Amino acid sequence: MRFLAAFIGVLLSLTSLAQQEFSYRVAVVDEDGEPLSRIEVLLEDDRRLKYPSFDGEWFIFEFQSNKEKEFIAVIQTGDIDGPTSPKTDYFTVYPDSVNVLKVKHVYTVLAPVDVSSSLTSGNVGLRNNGSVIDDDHIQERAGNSLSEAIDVLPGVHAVNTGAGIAKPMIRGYIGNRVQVMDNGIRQEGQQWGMDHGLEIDQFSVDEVEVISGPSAIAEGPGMLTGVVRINPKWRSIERGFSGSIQGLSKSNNRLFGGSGLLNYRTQDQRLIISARASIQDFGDYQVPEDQFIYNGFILPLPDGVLKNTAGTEINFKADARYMFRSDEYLTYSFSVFDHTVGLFPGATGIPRAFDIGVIGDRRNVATPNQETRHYKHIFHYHLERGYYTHELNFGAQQNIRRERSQPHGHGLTYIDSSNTLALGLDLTSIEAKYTLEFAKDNYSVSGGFNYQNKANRISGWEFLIPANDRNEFGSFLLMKWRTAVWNYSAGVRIDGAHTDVQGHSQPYYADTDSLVERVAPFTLMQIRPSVTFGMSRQFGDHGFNGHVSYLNRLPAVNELASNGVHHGTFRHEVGNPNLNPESGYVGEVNTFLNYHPFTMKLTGFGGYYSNFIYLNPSGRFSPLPDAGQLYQYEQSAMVQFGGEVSATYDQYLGSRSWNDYMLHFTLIGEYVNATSTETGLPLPFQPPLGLTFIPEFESSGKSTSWKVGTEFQWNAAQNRVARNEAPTPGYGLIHLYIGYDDKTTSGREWGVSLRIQNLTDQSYLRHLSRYRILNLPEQGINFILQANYSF
Amino acid sequence: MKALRSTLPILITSLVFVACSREQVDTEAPQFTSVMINGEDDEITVQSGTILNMAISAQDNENVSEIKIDIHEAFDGHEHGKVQLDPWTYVKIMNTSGGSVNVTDDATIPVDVAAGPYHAVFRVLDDNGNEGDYIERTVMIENGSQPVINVTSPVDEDVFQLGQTITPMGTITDAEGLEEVHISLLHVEHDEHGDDHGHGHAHLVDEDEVEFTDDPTTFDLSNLSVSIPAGGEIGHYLLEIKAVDIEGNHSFLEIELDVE
Repeated sequence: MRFLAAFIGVLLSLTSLAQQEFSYRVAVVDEDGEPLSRIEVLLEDDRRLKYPSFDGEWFIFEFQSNKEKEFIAVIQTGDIDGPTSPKTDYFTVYPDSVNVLKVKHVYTVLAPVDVSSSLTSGNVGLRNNGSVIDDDHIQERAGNSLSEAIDVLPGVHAVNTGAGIAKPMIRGYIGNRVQVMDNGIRQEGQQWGMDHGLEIDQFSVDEVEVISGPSAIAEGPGMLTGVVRINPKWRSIERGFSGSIQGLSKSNNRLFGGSGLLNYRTQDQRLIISARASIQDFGDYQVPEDQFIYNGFILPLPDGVLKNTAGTEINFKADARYMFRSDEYLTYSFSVFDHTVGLFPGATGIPRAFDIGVIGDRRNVATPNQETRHYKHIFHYHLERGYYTHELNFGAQQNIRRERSQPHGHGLTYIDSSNTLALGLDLTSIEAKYTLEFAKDNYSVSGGFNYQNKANRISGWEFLIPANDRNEFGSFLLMKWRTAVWNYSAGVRIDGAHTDVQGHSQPYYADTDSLVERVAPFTLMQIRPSVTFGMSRQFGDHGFNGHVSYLNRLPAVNELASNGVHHGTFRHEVGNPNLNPESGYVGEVNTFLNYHPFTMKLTGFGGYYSNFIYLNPSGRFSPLPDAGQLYQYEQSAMVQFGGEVSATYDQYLGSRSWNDYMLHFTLIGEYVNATSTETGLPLPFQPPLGLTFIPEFESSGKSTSWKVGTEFQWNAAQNRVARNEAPTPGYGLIHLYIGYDDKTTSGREWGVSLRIQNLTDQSYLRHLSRYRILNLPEQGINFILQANYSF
Repeated sequence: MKALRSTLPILITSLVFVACSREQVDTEAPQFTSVMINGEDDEITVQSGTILNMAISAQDNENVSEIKIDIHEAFDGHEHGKVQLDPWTYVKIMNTSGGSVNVTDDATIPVDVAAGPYHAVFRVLDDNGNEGDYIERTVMIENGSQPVINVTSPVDEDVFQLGQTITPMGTITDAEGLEEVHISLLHVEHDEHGDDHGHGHAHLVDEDEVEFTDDPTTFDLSNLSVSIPAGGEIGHYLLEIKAVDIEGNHSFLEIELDVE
């Protein structure tokens, strides 16, 4: 029939000067198959279609054209309320039958104002604000950890300790200031420690969002300046069995890993069960130097190998969801994360040639090392009734951490050398959270409260923080409303924490009979409010949003009560039980420009803290052996400001035999500056000015697609350093990637990708690396091969 | 809104204040100008029960405020179980004042400390918390009951060929009984960054060791050997012999070899 129509069409066009019109019908869905309505379609002749009609199943764009096939641009403009940075996808469409086009959601990058997409529909999850890098790209980056995988997002960094341990940093904030929310529950480990990683399996993460501003106030305490949110993805799971297998291999540290996922959804669609297991095993990693200089000594790195940086990660996760109705469901998720990784011997004391000069087995984990195991249970109940939405989250977690090293290396000769447990930290936490939202017409009001109990217990012959119990409670109220052109969000929350710190005494070094009190017991109760106000507006294709907030962060236990030596830095860190909550004013403005096919997002942010908490060198030595200076937690005024830019440009190159060829260009730039006004010195561990340029060539056909791209990453020197912090020279890196994907007709999909990280084997120091203080360069060239199959 | 109106001026004035009050911040770290132990500025060997005299000079652009001496064992962490003799640890913090300071400290080494290599680490601070580079010195302490290493062959500057096996001739004796003997061969690579510290680095090429369960009082060194790899590099090598007795006393002997 179609051939006949085409044939007649051809005949007509040949025999008549009057042009044949073809009828096209186009529907756009997201990757979960949900129809998208806020879409614009741009035709080859620059006609722009804005309002699709709903036919009961799809939102359909209908148009006529004299072409036999039409190459169109599908532009996601975001939901009705919000300014977004549009994302454009390109397709070739054909006349007559409905062209169902799947477009991919992209990650939100620090979008401040939640523009309350639930005001008009049940479709939550506005993720299109200023996005630049989609999830495919993040997966292809195949970082050494989840934190490193999201490192490319503007304003987001990973602070790494070697190649296996990393934690996220947002705009220069780290540790206690960056929370990670998994399924609505705060991830609770020993996040205060600079060389402690994030205990989440990167394979298991469907979607990562980084948000700041008013919408973050509903998440929990201390999140206004940025929170990493990990969202599960349930809707895309189809009836019956489905799943995927991924394989991963890296040349630099001889990593082999894989992950398998199996889903089952009952025929009535109500029950979904899924289970995932992942494993990664890696050897010592390599750097492009065979020696390094530390304190005037030249130390060997045989063949560039960093001794004892091998490790293993084994993870398991199981989820179940029961849907009572489409708007009422109960979810349970269980996960266990198990990570053992060696530390370079120089990282826990003065590096010595005899410790690091003989590599031996590249895959073994000797001392010093750290083992972490994290158990997590999360319950989530969601109920929508009329204008009301109820959310109930409950989480229970256990984080077991063992840091091992040789006691005699620390001079503790009274301890048997077989006792390598330097530091044991056991954190048990429970959290309960309830949120109620009322949404009607052009406004919504939500409120809720949360309670958390944390019990931290210690063991081992080293002492850093005392055992403690902490109860945190908070409550928030968030209101969003919309006028003809503006969106507003205003929120307030109040947080309290009751901290009960147990005292700690231990023998003074070799003198076993002495007992020295390191921390006196105390209890502390603090309550503080936070306030935020944000607004956004759309100007045609362009948009703007911003927020101003007054925030208070309650000091964490390590800031209040630590008293021990951080080996590797030789710093003796001392807490201060008299710290006040950290209060500050922060603000952020985002501008979204859309000159199709060029888009740009510009961000400016700044903040003033009257009493920012930081570690200040005291000018006095620690009385403890093998320890340098006393660093005390103090408070002083601090000013922070910075900006980010991200821009994309798409160039259509043409189409041949069902394949469309495209060029994509992405540019990401960022800068942050934080200065203590008391000392006039910058804060430590601040990311340098950075620019990343990513040209990519893509060929997409009906079932197969492939792409090849390059990342040019440039970082300026970081000369704005804190006292006793060394400046880091600038550097440029080139990464190359190529990927191939094949969708079979039965819905199965397979793909392979190769990424070459640090193509030129550049030797560079990374300012945000914990091994920077040893003058140790980062990983050299690394071939990363990935394969996946999903069914 | 009212709150904002009242806090915004504070915010703005504080920003202006920050911008205007950029004074010179002292971030210059103090430095050691001289560190002498018993009059030497290199590795020394001393007897337990004697006094270690340390003379330290340091300078800063403003004020040297503290100097810390930290002496601890530098046994290489291969001890098995708890040792009988405790190693010596010594910590001393000295308050100083002035841009250029000279201080001395006399530390008495206790009689009954484990023999072996110790590290003396010297650190320096100024008033503002700027911390200078530390200096580390090796102090070999002997207590009279450490293992006695007696090597007849090879001797310093003996010449070997690539691929050759070195079997040291000699004995190790210890009245209390030996716990462990370890020999290692290191290739000395020359320092490309100036030789003023003499810290050319040594790269382990081969090693051999024996651990005893019967606490022998004498050991024949010819039971151990190391090989120079046939594909190795020519140049300077070090043969290190280490012996540990059951009390935890360490003895070291280094022989310099040439490989052609």
